[in-house]
Amino acid sequence: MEEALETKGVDPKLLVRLLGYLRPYAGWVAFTFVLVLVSSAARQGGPFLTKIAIDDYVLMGDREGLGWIIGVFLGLLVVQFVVGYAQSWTTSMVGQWAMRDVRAQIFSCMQKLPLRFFDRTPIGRLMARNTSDVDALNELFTDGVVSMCSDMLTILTILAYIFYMDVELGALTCAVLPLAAAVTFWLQKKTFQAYRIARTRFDSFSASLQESLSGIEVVQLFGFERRAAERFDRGNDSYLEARVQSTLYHSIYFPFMELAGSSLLALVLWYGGGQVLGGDIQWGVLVAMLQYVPRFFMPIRDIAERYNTLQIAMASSERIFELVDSAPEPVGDGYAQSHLQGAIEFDGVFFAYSGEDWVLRDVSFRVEPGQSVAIVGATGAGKSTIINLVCRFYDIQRGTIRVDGVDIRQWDVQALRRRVGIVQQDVFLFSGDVERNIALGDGDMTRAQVEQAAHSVNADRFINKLPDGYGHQVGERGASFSAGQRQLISFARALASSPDILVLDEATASVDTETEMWIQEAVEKLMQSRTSIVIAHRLSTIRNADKILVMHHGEIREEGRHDELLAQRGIYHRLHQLQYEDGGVDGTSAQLA
Amino acid sequence: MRFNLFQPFARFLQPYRAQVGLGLFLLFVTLAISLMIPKLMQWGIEAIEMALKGAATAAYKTGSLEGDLAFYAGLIAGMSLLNWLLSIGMRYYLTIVSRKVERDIRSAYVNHLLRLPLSYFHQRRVGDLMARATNDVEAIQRFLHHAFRMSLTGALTFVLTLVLMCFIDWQLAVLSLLPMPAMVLTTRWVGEKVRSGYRQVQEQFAEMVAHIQENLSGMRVVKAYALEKAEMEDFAKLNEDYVERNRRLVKIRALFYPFTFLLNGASMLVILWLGGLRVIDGAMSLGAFVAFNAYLIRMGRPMMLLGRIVDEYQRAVASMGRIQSVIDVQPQALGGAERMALRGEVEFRSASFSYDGRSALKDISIRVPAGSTLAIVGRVGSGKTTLARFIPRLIEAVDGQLLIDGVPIGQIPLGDLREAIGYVPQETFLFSDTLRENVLLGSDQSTEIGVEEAVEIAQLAADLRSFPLGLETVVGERGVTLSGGQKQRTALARAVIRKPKILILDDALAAVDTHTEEEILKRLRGIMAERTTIIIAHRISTVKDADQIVVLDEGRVVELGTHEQLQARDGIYADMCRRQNLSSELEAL
Repeated sequence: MEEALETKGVDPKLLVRLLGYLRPYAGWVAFTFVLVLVSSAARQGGPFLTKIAIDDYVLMGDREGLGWIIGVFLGLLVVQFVVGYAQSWTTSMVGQWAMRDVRAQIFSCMQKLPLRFFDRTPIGRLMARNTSDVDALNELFTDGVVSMCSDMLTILTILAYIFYMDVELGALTCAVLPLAAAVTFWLQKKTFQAYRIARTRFDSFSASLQESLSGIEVVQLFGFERRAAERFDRGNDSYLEARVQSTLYHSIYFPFMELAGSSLLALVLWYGGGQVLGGDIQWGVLVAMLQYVPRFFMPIRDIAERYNTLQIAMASSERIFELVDSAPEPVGDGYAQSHLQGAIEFDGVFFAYSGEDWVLRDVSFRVEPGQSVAIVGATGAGKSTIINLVCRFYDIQRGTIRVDGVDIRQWDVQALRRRVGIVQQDVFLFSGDVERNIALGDGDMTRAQVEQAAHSVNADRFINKLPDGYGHQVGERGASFSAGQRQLISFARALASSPDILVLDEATASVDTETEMWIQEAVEKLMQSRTSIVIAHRLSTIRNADKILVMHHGEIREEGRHDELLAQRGIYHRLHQLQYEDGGVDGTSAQLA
Repeated sequence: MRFNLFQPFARFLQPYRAQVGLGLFLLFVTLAISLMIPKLMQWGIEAIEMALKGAATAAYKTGSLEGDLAFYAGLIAGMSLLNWLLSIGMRYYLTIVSRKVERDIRSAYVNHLLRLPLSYFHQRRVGDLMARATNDVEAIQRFLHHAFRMSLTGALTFVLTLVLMCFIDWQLAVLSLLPMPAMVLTTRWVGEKVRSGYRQVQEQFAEMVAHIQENLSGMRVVKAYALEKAEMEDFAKLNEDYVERNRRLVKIRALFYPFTFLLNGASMLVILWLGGLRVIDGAMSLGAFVAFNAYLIRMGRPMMLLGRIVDEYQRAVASMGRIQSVIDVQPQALGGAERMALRGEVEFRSASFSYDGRSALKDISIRVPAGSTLAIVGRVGSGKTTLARFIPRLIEAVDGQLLIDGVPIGQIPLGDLREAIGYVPQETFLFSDTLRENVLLGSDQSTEIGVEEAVEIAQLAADLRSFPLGLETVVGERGVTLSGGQKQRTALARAVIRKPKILILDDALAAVDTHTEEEILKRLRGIMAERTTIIIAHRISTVKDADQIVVLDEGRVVELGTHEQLQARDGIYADMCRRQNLSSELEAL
């Protein structure tokens, strides 16, 4: 899947915005420009000094004067060295600082994006924003901007020296500029499109590789390695193809600039030679000109190359800005309380992940503070969605959700989420140790609190057996833990944050009976003192619930306590009947989904 | 520094010898032509000098100064034109080679990487492995691209200009070599520093990328626990450290170009001085002096570029090392070469396995006859999944043996083994592709049962009908989000479609409700009648019909037998049954 391609060239608005990253370092940038000015004047002074040496001393036979001018030359070299070092340092560092700011901005913007955004954007693509696109900007900042200015200054300085020596030769030199510019313009047009295609193909094969690596277990189990590799190779090949295209243009262009330089050299020799003979220009001028001409085309060539960098950076910055400008998740109207009472109310809620594809239809229910609610229903009935909405992971399309009587949109999102402890279906563990995974960013949490939380859910039994106990490194995504162990950690994590509302999403599904009993015990204790919403599978949980919501196709079809619902002889009764028959006949675990 | 810069990449350059040869030949020709230009300049200036001294027309090649100047100028222009045409070919060939090598290295890396044992991936971060396929490979390309032209042109230019300079004035030519030793020494010193500095920068970069990757993958948790600020702070630390490491690198690197420039400039100065004196003394013509200077400038350029080459070389070697370290990892042994059709008998013979120094399984001995069912139960962390993962060789026994059809598992071709196994893991991974592709995954369209039948068995058909695009619905990162149960059933369809001889369900129906599970098992029994089934579950209803039930505890087999035998034994299993019964009896009240 290739992202849309369009040629935009250098958009001045984008450029201004990009340069905005340099603003905090304006002082350094200004200083750098002074250094650039000094260094190009010093550097291009060489041939001019050669001219003076030849005309005033060598041809005059002045040995002492030659020594003197050599001394000046040496001084100039030292200046160049000092200024060159300083310039190189400031340029690189300003670039590094600007890049640090760009990275920090991207990262913090990503933190503020709604989950909806992450649902439809592959991680691989976001990673490309953070790596290859940032890299492209990096080149622009550390090399591009300053070097481009330095190149332009070099051209101007050389022209100034030439014009100072002889106006006609200056005019002659200027005459070649349009040709060089025209060819350069042609090249950039040709290569940019090729570059964009290459870039998209690069992103595409790296996203597919990323996926194969993330799912390596499945890839290997199903003997998919060869096909995955083939798919990758196809992407890799098509990327090469795009690169070959632009290589051709570059191969024509860069040597062409050399041709232009040599031609000018021939012109100068032919025309200037006659001038020298006629006494119109001095010897030294001709010699200096012959030195200036090759120097003159190098910066033009470099500008072309840097213009590419600039365009690459433009394309990347467009993508970065698009990300940075994505509408952030609403943060709410700032209403916050240090503790929740735990009243939750859904009032005529309609919700769809996309379009009018309703996942919830006119859902209304109330949870009083301290009550426990069990949600039951078939997979896909919309149970998980309710939980997502309580944490305001998504905004509803119609209706109202109130927490403690206040519209959820008025709540400060973070304040709300901090008071809600959630155990999700897929447990995600961060790299770092077990303790960090339980404490999760709460720096004030003591080891004792962590251990207490782990103990409450009986997670300490396996944690204590780990070689480093709570200091055990979990590895990427907790690969070394079993699903059950991960769930226990996730449980401890939810308890450790001592939430006012506890939300459990099918969390006990893959824990064995014994462990489940331990958890059950802990959960029951917890439920007594706080509001809880549980997507339940276990009948015991359901039986103990103050209220049961029966979800069916995005609607709440039945609501009430266990015995009330049974008496209704509706969906719940039917679900229960299925369980009961199994349970009654052969002692199956009584579960309801 | 190694003498042969290309040695670390030789293996990948090998196939392109012809193109490299052609490119280098063209490079040599273009170089020779371009080196003629200062000489032509010299002759042109000498002609003017002659004219100033009032030489006879016979002294001119063409009979007049104007003629000579036009001749030399024309020659310069003509040669430049030829040079241009040849350069196009030269650059094209050499750049293309660097691009092809880039492609080949990347391809070799990925092809190898995907075949490494799973344990390798547990020790590595995806972000880090990705960086090797992208940044590192690009660093190598950049080096090769420049190195061909710059280092070879550089070396050749250096030698040829020196020879040509010797023709003009050998003493001055020798003097021009003066800065060489200093240049080589600094290059070495700086090279060392840059290499280690660059490695540190790269490592930090990998850290940063890994952090971002993890943050994005765990975004739900980040949001649920309002960790955004903490995450930003963590990232800011890494970011700051990255800048600091770059600063240390910049400090050294910024010195390099100005310093080489200074050395080079100083030597030019000496030449200019001595040369000027010679012209004053009449020992050298002005034309020769100008040409000498032009050569000197040309000779200086490769010396200045030396720094850049060294820099890029260091990066490329570091990158190649990172890639090579992966390529050097032994891929998983592929097993015997002779193809085998498996019946599906599985036998563990005192198999043991430890993980991270912890013993995960101890002395497991179980025989599962072909076509029979083994159920594995046990508490969290008792080793159930580990046991199942032996069979498709996702892990390998440290001690003891695992035999399939009586053959040690290591001797069975890995491809045949895995083809014979349908494994449904606890956690499902779906690719960003259509459901159809996700179900087919590597198996041919022409399998015994079609996708439709597979989704029917997995009880996914009804869900599919609710998707407008049905099987063509794109799922995963780029598409719709499926519920946990839907994901598991997709994974089940993926396993079933292969009609495996051995079906392994690793707690694979946990997110599926009991009723659906019952339906699935019923249908599975039909197609699995003659196939070996290994099922990990917590629900007694799921396991009780198994031919054998094994109870694991702390990595050991504590009970083994049928449902009735184990009930009679009154051990852990019986206890499990009682507990599960308890809740249903409560229910019956």
